[in-house]
Amino acid sequence: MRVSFALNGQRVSLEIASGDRLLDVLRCGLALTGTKEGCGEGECGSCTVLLDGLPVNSCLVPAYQVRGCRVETVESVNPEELEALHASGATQCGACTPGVVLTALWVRRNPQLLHSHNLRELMAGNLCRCTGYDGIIDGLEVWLSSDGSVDSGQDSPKDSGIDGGQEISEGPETPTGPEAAEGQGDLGGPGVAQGKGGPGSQDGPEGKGGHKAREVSQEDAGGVQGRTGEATS
Amino acid sequence: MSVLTPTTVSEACRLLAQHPGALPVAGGTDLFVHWPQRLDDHDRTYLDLSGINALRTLRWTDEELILSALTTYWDVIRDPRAQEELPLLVDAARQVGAIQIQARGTWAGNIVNASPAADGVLVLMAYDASVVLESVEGREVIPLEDFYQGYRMMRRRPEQLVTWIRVPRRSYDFQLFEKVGARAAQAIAKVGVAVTLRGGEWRVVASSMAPTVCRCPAVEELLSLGTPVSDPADLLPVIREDVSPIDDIRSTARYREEVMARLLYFGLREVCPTFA
Repeated sequence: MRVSFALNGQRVSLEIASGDRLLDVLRCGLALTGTKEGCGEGECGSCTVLLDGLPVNSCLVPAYQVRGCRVETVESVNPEELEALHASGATQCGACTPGVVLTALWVRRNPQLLHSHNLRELMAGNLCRCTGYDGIIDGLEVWLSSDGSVDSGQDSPKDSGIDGGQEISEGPETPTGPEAAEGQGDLGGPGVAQGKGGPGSQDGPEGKGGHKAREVSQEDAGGVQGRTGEATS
Repeated sequence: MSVLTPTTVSEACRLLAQHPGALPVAGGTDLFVHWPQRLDDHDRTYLDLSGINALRTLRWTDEELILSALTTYWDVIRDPRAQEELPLLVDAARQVGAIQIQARGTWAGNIVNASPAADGVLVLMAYDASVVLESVEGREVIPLEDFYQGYRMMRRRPEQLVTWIRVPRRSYDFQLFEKVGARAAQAIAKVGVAVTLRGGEWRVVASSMAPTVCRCPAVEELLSLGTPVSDPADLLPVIREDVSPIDDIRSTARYREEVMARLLYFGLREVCPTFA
């Protein structure tokens, strides 16, 4: 079957097999090998790309579903943008980095997300096995706060890559077709969060009642896990 | 692998009637796990729902929140009214996986995947949600608590499509969602509980504690009667009437029972005067 979509701002059209994943099409069909395959089960986030502006695991996306969509990969990001990640020691083997960058790009374009979520929660779908997370979070905090987090881009021409991306994402919000939204609003472009107001009431993942129970149970979890040597996940 | 690509619900139903083994696909977050290795599944026929725009909406009526087959976790997380009125949906959606899963995974997919650990099913059941199934023979509405018949068994017939999920809009006096996994992010529940209280009527729902996500009528009765509870252990015999946890890769039966008792005890102590 043939599929057409916007890839990093350019329209592409190619033959795919019905069983291809978006990841396969990017790496093998289009030779964009910046997107990595890690676990192949939607856990590690190394294959993260932006689909209509939202981070997704491309290993779980059937390629035929991206017809008419916007796909953005790490190749669209100017490496000079990422100086802060180098400076903080955020990468070692580099396998998680493209995915980390794409998820962070989504946060960068939607700074209001940080009113309702903390950065670690937003980045929880990108696992790193080398450096630990402090360097990544430190670097991202610098990146996210640079140039004003709204991508004003007035600073330097370096920004053009990302601004280009944002241009696209600010286009008409059309998940899979012109009338897709049916009054539902955007499916993930800028303006995603209810921005001002709404989620301010939620201070963190566990805003409500059972806070105490959680603490108790987690202590408990540690103990029992230690005893049984149980595998995670 | 062959893919059917309907653009309307009626076309989807017609195709399902013609291809009863066809598997509906929404976001693919369950169906495409380890896909390259699952060669047997490559020969199946799939019914892709992504072209059916009518199934993309999240809609509030006077009485209900109506989620569609393609409504994702993220759609609910970013809906301000959901946070206000049905916050357990948002809590569960934020813990079901990270943004990459939230952006693609659907509530309907969570229901038909029929995992006993399903976070979405847990909170939907605590809100008395019901499942709307469409087929060429018409519409059927089944309360979610009656939807499962055993481990991964459900009352959806192969020619039926889950099109909508209806969640009543009510005001609650108390709501609780707790999930314990191996870690805070990206983990499947070892134990999950969701509790709602409305006008003296309790709903207690558990996940990863039985072959299906299930209501816990014995615990609900204990709460309604105001039976005194002075220690989490007091709840264990009642919990054992409702659930039947097992030892598996994620946890042990004993751990699950004890943690469920603690989650309920510490979570409900503030609203249950009879909990010492």
